[in-house]
Amino acid sequence: MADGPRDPWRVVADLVATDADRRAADPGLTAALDQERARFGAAAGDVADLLDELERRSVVDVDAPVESSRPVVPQLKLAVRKANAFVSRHLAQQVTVLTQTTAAALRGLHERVAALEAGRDVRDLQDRLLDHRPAVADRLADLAGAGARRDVGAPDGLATLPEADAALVVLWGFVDVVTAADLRRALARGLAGVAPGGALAVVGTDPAAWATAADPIVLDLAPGHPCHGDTIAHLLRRAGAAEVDVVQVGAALLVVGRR
Amino acid sequence: MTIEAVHQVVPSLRRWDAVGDHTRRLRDVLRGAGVRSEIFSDDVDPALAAEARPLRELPPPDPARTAVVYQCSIGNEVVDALVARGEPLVVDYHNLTPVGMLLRWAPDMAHLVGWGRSQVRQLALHAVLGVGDSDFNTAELDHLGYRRTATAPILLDPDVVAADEGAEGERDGSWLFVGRVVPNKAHHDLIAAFAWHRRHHDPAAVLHVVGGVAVPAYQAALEAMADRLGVAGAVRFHGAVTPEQRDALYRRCGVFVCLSDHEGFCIPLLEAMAHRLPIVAYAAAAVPETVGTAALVLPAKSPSLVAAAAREVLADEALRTEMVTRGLARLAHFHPDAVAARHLAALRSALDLPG
Repeated sequence: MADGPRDPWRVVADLVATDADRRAADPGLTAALDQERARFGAAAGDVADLLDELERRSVVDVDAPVESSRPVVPQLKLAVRKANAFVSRHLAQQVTVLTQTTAAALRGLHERVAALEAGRDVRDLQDRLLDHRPAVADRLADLAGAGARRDVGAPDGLATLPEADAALVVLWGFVDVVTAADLRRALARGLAGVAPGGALAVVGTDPAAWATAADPIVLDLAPGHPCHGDTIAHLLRRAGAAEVDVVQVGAALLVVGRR
Repeated sequence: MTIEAVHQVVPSLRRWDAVGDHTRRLRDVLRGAGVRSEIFSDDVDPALAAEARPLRELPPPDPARTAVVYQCSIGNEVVDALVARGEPLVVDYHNLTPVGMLLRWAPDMAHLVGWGRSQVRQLALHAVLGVGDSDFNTAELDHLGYRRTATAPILLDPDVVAADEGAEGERDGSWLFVGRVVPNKAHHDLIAAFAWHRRHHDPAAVLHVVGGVAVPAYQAALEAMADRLGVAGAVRFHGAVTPEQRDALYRRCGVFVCLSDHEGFCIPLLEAMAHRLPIVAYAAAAVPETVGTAALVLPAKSPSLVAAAAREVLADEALRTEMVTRGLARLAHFHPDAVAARHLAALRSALDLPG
């Protein structure tokens, strides 16, 4: 017996169930299309452009149109417009001043928010650059072996890291956007969490890839910048690590030191 | 006392306009039911001058014998006059685009829509009945506090819901969408999905977009987007076309793709069904209600998902046939005779009409 047509509901269910695979199969186009669609979002858009538009529209036209297809009406409208002109201009002037003042305040807020959002932009940048994560993950799995592994993705995570406990401690992500002093502290604290004979791995971003991958404003406003592998290796040795190795995997940088 | 006349007030009466057509057909339905009925409007297409009278000629209110149906639209001065009349008032609601969807692109239009929405709310205090042309629209009326509501679809030209016998020929692999170029119809999502389709399924595919440009800034942004994605040459913006030109595309294209975020009804979906064109649609607002089970209705609209759905429809002959069959069956639900009966039943629930 020949197969009948598939139920449209079943077709949709199957397509939905497999959509993540499709997106994952072409991350470049997925990201590009998501970015394009985001431009059209209700809350999206370039805030600076919107503020420009707000300022343009704040200048209220007090000369209401007087056209009409009916006879005499244009003359009547014109007379009404002239009679009300002083009131209209007075109101329009106040609207203009109010709107311009509001726009100026919003511009100030926008600049401050943009600076805060720079941190988010940096994380997005890291996500894009670390496209060799599977290869990095394989190396980390080898390092941990059967021992305990602790991943630290934010500075806060260092505070709760048990002393001399793990076969492998991994510091990742935040190491790109901390000050040099904070990086030194993080390395020392991370190494302290490693059991004797274990390893501390630092996963960062190659500074060269970083410098060419994003808007300069995003990079300049970021709270830190990635260090070269040699610099991290140097700091790791000063923190007490031995057998320090630096490996570059695509745009990712993996620095490993043993305790 | 029996109502002897049910007049309609519509802010604007235009040719090739769904609400305008509906208003004229409802007048004929009312006359057929034995009540006097005229259309009153101050903005009438010259070609329809004989169909309507100026608002100033609306007879003085006679609450015992006369009722008024207001064909709801964007904000206008007519509403204040209607409310002041005091006769039984019926609001026929075809929905209004949410203000937030327009604000960024067309602040002027957003203002008029916002005004219109506030008037719909105001009319809840005065109307004896609110009629939505979909359950989605009726739910809004219920939410606004209308004391009595009913659903009766928009009255269409019988040709719209009749199977197009000439639409059984060869089709190409192109996509079609019909609808005004406004942000709530999400042409940007359509272009994104189409770009995925071109990359992964059919590098020669074409997207036909039919509909007048209501928001020029949005149209310009769409053209720029298509350019950035490298599909500008494959996205054809036809603008407003004649019914013949539109029907030719319905007959030629391989799939109708609708990714609107807001539709109060969406007549092009029925047009596609009548032209035996399978539909892929995003499940927003009244769209699922209009298509029933006669479309691939998607719960999300990631470009890859939409493109994959369109590909299924284009590549699977059995699925296409099934969806066309379902579409033609679905049209019966919107046949003008059936819809006219629903309108009369709705009106009779609130007004004492003859018969």
